[in-house]
Amino acid sequence: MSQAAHAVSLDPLTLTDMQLDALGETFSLALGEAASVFAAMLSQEVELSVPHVELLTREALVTRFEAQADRRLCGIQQHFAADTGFRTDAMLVFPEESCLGLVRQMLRQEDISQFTELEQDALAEIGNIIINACMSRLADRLGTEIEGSLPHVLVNEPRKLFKPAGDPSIAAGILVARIDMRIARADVSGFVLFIMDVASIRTFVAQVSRLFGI
Amino acid sequence: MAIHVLIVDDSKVSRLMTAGLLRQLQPDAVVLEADSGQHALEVAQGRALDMAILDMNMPGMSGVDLAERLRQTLPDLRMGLLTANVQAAVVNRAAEHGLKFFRKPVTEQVMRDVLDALGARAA
Repeated sequence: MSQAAHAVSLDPLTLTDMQLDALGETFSLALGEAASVFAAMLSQEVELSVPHVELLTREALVTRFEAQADRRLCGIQQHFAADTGFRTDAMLVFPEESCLGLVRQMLRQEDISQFTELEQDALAEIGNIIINACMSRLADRLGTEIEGSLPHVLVNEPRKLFKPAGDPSIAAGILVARIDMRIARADVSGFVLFIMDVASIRTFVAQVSRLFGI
Repeated sequence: MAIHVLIVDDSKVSRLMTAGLLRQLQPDAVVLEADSGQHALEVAQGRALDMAILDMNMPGMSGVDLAERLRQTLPDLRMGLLTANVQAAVVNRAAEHGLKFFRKPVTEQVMRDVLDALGARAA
């Protein structure tokens, strides 16, 4: 059972509790798949939290991160476009220190303390595998094909990391599907964001709602 | 006789991991690497390759398109896709083009599966 936030409204879009619950169930499967490949990549168990789905403005997302801690984040981003009409920038996000831990685990090297080209490449591949596992499961569930771009690694403060892309309409909303993935040995915790414009959120939610008959 | 294997992936880390596991299971394998479809065509030119392990999503040319190009000059080359893009549509497309399909991340078991499916027994 997923856990969904209440009373979510992003003018001019409002999601009902039932829609949020359906999104939570859908992302639970997709992110579970992502965690499973994450575990295989690191050869160890990954603990999952209950998925949490909500709709935020970009500013609200930035404010939340800034309130948590004044720290830099690492985002691995890919753009996706579905045959059924929605587009999204999917972003796997970790605190910067968690990212270094992840790369140490993946490359089996303990002395990594900064991002050189090889570490960036490793992160891009980690993001590619995890995000694609998630998007592939979503595509199959929705009966569509989703074309993806190549992964792009960004390390920055929250405000710069989540700054609007070239298309101003993309600034409209962020569908946050959060599942904490914890690995004790690497002390890593990360989650996934889906940045969509309002039209894409509407299309995506309508397709998920049809799946659940709501 | 040593097998000659071409690994094509735009991720250096992915190529390192794939090549490392391949050498672990096939110590005498001759491993060639390319970071794009175009680079792969150049590396393959004039060489007697036995197997190719191709990523799907790469800049310039997809793994499926690359497989079609390689097949024109190397009709007996055994090829498989090793990709994170595990959508049913992509799995079906690989099958339509006669390609074996393997999902990332590459692990020792995945590499055993690759070698079995492409006709090379792991050591």
